[in-house]
Amino acid sequence: MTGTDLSGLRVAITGGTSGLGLALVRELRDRGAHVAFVARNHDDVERVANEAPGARGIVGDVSRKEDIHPIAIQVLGALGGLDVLVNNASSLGPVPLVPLADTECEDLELALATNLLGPFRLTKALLGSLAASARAGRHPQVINISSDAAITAYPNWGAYSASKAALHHLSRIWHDGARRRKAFESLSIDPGDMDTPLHALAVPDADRSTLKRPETAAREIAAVIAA
Amino acid sequence: MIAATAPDQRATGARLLVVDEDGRISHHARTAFLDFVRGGDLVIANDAATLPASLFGIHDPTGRAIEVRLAGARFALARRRGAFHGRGVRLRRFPDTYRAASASTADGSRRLTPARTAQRDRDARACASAADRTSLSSTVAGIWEGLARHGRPIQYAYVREPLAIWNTWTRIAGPPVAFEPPSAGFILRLGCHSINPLARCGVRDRHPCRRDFVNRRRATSTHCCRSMSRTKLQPATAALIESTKRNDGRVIAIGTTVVRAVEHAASFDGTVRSGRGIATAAHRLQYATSCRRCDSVRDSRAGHQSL
Repeated sequence: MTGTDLSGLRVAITGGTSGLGLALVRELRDRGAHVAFVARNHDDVERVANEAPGARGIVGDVSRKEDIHPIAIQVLGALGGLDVLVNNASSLGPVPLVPLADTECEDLELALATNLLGPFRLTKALLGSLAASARAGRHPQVINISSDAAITAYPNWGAYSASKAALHHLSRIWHDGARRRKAFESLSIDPGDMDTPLHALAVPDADRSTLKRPETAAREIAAVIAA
Repeated sequence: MIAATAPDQRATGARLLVVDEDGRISHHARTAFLDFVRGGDLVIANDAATLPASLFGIHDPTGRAIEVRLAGARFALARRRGAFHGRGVRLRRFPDTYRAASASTADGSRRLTPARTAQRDRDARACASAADRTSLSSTVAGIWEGLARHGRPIQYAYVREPLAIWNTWTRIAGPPVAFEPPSAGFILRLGCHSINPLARCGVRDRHPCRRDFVNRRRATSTHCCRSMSRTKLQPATAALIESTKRNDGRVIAIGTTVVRAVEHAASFDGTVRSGRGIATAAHRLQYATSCRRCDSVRDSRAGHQSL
């Protein structure tokens, strides 16, 4: 693997049927990686799998504990192992966004389940495979897609912001522990404000021309993976 | 020994039974495992993840419920080839596309014979015979999806509660290739006070987990071998074992599968050879086995028994 060529790299991406996840599926597959992607909607998974031959679509919801191991089994069955896990699937919480005082507990729970617990559970389920990748000298990575909302406490972004802040911190703790043991690299990446369905839900009146294209962010992340 | 009755493999109160070379028995916390590992020792563990290999279906000839438990090398072959065929069993909760064509293997596909057909109720017993064949026809992806969505871990009869898949994956679980949980592997933890299975194996002197070890234990490595009685010992593992022996280190094999694999690999002349093999009872301790003094470390909550 040299430069930005990712031939043979085994990558799993959650939230892979829209926005940044979809752009990553296309970008990494085009660079030669073996890609498995996960999303909740069967029809969307089928559509993307047809659009991107060679990429393996898996129907699953990372916010559900019961789905995590079935997802992991299918990822490993499809790829024969794993080198890079991209925890990209995200939930905004209540939409339209509301102040924290008006946020239902269930909405906060869902945001935490999708943005924090899901990535944690999936990473844990795949840890042994990442370890096997490390033993084979393949430098495994876990990439958690973050947000500036993980750092800045924006009004109305309470559930999303709190869950992303927790994920960001989780990434740092994973990284410190795993790096010490040269096991895998854990990265928290903020791709910036992108023109995605999620952003449109959060900020419906945003000027889309000012937003980053998800394809641009996908290229940047691919470069990080290849580095 | 008392059979374990709960699926919890990660109980914080789990203990270790330790027998030293003089036969003295002592009990310790499971997390104290590393205290009994010396610098230069080699720890060999099984990193297989467990398949949801128990499938529920309908036995076509009788219309009765049946549980099919996948096992054996033929299934492994079939997974690679995308289908395995047989006759007579429809898997109840699989979508239609996974149903068996009741007959034949005319297309030359591999057959899978269930190694053990469930005998836990009368319906199942009525179906169990050597003639029964399981049949799943799909793509490789379809079979993985079917197993993931509809399979359950094989349930031990002596465990009262239903096993969930997460009860069966050790912390080092990697490729899903085991039909039953590699239960002794639950002794391994990923914390800094325990063995570091994430570290790379290879040349022991370069082992990156050396500095993590309590009391500066040197060069303890983990490596993997898989499957049930069919085993495959990696060349790197065999080399590490020989290297450990040359340096007077101890080889600590965790769990029945790993012990059998290593025993089998060394059964010819005592030199551990890499490669595939079938570890059977013939390779276990027997009358002709010469006795040697050794230490024994056992996780009293792991495996199939509790003490």
